[in-house]
Amino acid sequence: MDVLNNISRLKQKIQFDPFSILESIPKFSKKEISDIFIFRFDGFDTEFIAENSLALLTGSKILCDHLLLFFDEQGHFLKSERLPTDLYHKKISIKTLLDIEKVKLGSFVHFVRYSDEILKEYSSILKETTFQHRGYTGFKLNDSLAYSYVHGNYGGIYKKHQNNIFSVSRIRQKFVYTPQVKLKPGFKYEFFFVSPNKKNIILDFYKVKNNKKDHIKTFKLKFLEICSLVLSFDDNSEVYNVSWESHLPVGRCIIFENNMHTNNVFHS
Amino acid sequence: MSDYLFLSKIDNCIENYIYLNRYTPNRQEKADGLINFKVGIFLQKFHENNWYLVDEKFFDNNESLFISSLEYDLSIGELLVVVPADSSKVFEKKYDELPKPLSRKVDLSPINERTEIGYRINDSFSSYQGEFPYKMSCFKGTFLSFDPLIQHAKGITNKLIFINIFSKKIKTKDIFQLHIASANTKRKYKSYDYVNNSALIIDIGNYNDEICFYSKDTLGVPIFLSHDSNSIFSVEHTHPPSEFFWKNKFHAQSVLKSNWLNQLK
Repeated sequence: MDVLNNISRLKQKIQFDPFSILESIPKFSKKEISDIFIFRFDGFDTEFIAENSLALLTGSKILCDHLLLFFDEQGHFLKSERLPTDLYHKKISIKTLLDIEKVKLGSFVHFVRYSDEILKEYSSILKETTFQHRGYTGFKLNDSLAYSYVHGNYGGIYKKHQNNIFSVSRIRQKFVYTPQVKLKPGFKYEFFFVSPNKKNIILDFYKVKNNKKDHIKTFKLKFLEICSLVLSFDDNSEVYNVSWESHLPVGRCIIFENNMHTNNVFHS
Repeated sequence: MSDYLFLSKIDNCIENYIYLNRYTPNRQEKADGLINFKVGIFLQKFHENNWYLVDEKFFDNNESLFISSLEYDLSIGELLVVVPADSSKVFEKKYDELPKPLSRKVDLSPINERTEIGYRINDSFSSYQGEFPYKMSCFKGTFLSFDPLIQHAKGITNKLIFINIFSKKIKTKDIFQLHIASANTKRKYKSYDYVNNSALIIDIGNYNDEICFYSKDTLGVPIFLSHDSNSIFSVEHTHPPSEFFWKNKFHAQSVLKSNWLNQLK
């Protein structure tokens, strides 16, 4: 009976687990995992705040290289950049790293590199540690004084060699995501979603009111491809809640909420 | 898993609001997404150790609730804890332990229930999807956070809003301290007093140094708010240190905290 119960519990756990089941086995677990972040330059500026993971873990200044891999809107690799620092957190202006006339929207992932000497010195602590790079992205309108920050959301991206990246994200049964967001008359909403999964993903957006859903739009996405749903409400619009459905247990958007007074960016 | 929500008075200009709807945020398609609940709103005054029911809010025929700090006569730093509960639950007027919140989950989907937590000046606002997990409210804990969300543009004020909820019975209301220190030298710059079940609000000021925030007395949720006199630019919480790690998160967090807190006096 215990065996049957254990199998049933494992089956249930897998149904809701957003990541590969192999990740729960230490032998197969990756050594570094990154969230996926977006950048945009269509009237916005983007800043990334990178965490120096080993320095934060040990509480001491340690020199690292922040390694950023950039992808275009379709998920094609653009370039990589290495930025040395011994700061605990480094603020990186993304426009200084990309040709923003050519690429207005895309994504990036973040890893941290240490010298062989440092890896040797901290080998015992590193043996038991898998870093997760979540970071923060800041977005501001070009004429604004300051950024609106949002922390890393979801990714499960790892790097094997060169610039080849993979994902521990897995698809399961269909999931629904309904953010706790009041859509307001007079505002424009942009929902950005980056696919973290190697398989093609279908993402369906719905308006939801009185527990009834009306289809808005379907996106088909390849790995790291970005889609954006734009909803604009004038002052007299009828507003509703928004839901989306996909086979990802954690399928979260970055949401931009704008009018002439407000630039609010948050993860769902 | 279940969560408290919260509201506080930040100052005389900034409104704090929460918005929540009856849809569970994350679920499998086959589960019903609409849930029936109400919220009780509780206050523990700075010098009290009992919780008092201040208000109850019902969805009635609506799908959403909007609750503002301006609806309540609060002192700066007083914290209203919003407790989701079954619609049929009858709240007492007074508790020595804060009622456990109702879980708004309908299955084992991974994302916490949350709410839109927002701050507004005039027509300008910023928000994030947040919560205070019930589990965190059962432990004394310690706190450590860093400064990445501080912005240095001219005219910008950065605030730390440190939310502490302790739901268990409190015998006496102790005075705790949150400190700002240099992340590099670990030298302490400033200390601030706070008590359980309050929002400590700090104007962070300017430091020519990477700084950290810590308390050896309690845990808490740190919210960083950047604003000027007319606009709110950013509201976001920093990651708890456990989020720097993929596996064995809580073991690694305790190693990290001990590495820092042993150096911070």
